Amino acid sequence: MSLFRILPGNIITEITSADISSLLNTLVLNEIQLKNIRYVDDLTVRITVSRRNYPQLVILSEKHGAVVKKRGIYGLFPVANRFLKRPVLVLFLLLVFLLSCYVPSRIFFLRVEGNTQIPERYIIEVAAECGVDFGAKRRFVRSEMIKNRLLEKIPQLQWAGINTYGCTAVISVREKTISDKEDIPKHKVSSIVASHDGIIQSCTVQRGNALCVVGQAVKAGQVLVSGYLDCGIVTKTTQADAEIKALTFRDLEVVAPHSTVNKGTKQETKTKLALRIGKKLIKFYKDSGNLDATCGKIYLEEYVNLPGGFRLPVAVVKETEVYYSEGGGELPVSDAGEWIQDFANNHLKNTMISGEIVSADAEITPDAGALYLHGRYACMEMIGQIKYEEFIPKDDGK
Amino acid sequence: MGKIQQIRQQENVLSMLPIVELTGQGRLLIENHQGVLSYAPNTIKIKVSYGCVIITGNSLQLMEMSRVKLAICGRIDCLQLLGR
Repeated sequence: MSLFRILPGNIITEITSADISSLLNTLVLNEIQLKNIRYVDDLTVRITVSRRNYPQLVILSEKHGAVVKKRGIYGLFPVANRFLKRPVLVLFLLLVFLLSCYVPSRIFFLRVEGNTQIPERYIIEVAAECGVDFGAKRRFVRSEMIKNRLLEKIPQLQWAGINTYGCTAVISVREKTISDKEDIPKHKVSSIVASHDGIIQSCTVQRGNALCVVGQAVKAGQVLVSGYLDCGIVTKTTQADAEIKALTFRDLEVVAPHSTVNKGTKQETKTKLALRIGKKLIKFYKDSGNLDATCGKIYLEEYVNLPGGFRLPVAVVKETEVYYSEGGGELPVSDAGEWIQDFANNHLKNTMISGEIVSADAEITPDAGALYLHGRYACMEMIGQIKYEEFIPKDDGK
Repeated sequence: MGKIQQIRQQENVLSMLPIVELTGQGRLLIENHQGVLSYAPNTIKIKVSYGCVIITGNSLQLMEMSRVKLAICGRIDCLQLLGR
């Protein structure tokens, strides 16, 4: 019952009358319940009445020649009315209420523990693909399912588990112990084949059946040492291992421009800022055209990251332009020749497995603003290359 | 007149009589009163069927007042019942 009395609210009134006692009696006789009748002075009292009785109280008081003043109002409905007159506050409280319902059911932070080799960001990215992402619903996070998918997608993991604490999801992982030895497919048969045409100069076979001799000319792809050994009744298989050196010949053509442009000393540095929101780029500068060769540009995007490792699609873009003085000019033929020769030598050494250039027959000719190098190089190099053979099923003699 | 009717009459008479209930020194409840005669923080006079109840004290206040009952709070020093 008291709730129904509280809901409509109460009004505090101040009544001034020549005969207060008589007025109180009149009000009570008219079924008006009075509360907290506070004495102010001989002619004035402050009374609390329910909102429903207030109009009747005013009428009776005026009939009695009293003066009624409203001093305050309280109760649920009056408070609600007052709130409704402040829409911003109401909206804020509504938002807080909705957030308090929404936030605990979502995941906003991710933490990875137990990883040493695998980067945390990579695990988080894989977890995001499995559904554990910023704002994901907690009840949709199925630990067993995500564990299986993490193990499937990251083979380096031995074990994974996920637990949620409030808005934080903790991914616990254990990595496999990785051995230093390279994985060699021991079940496979391998042969040594020639990687390049050449004349064999030396041949040291450690395992396998040698099919070449010193002085023999071989073509690229030709089997030099076989992994199969025919023993008459049975065929033995092995992984061939050998060091085979051969004399090879390589033709090379190199072109270099005659004139050069070099960066001189640093002259000026300009920094330009922009904001990237999703795919949109908001530039806070103008004149962003193409730059000439004397200007270098450093482009840096700094994304906003939350503590859990989530990357928000908002980034500060910093473009630093460094201006240099212009340098360079015509390259002398002697210098250019030296440079182009060095380039050709380095290129050849990089293309060989292991070896050296024995002799070179190169000619440099300037033509139409460029330098041309035509050369034939004789190299002493290792040409043995492992080739895994196709699986041959075991013959049981039937 | 039957016994039951007698009991009912007695109950009616009793229900019209004023009930004065004093709780400690700070609260007084009067039921079946006939109105307030005077109201001040030191003295409150309440009219009842047999006369008047005078409450004397300090910081006296009418906490609740309806047609049937009346509650007074404050420090009650003296309670006088005056007949006609």
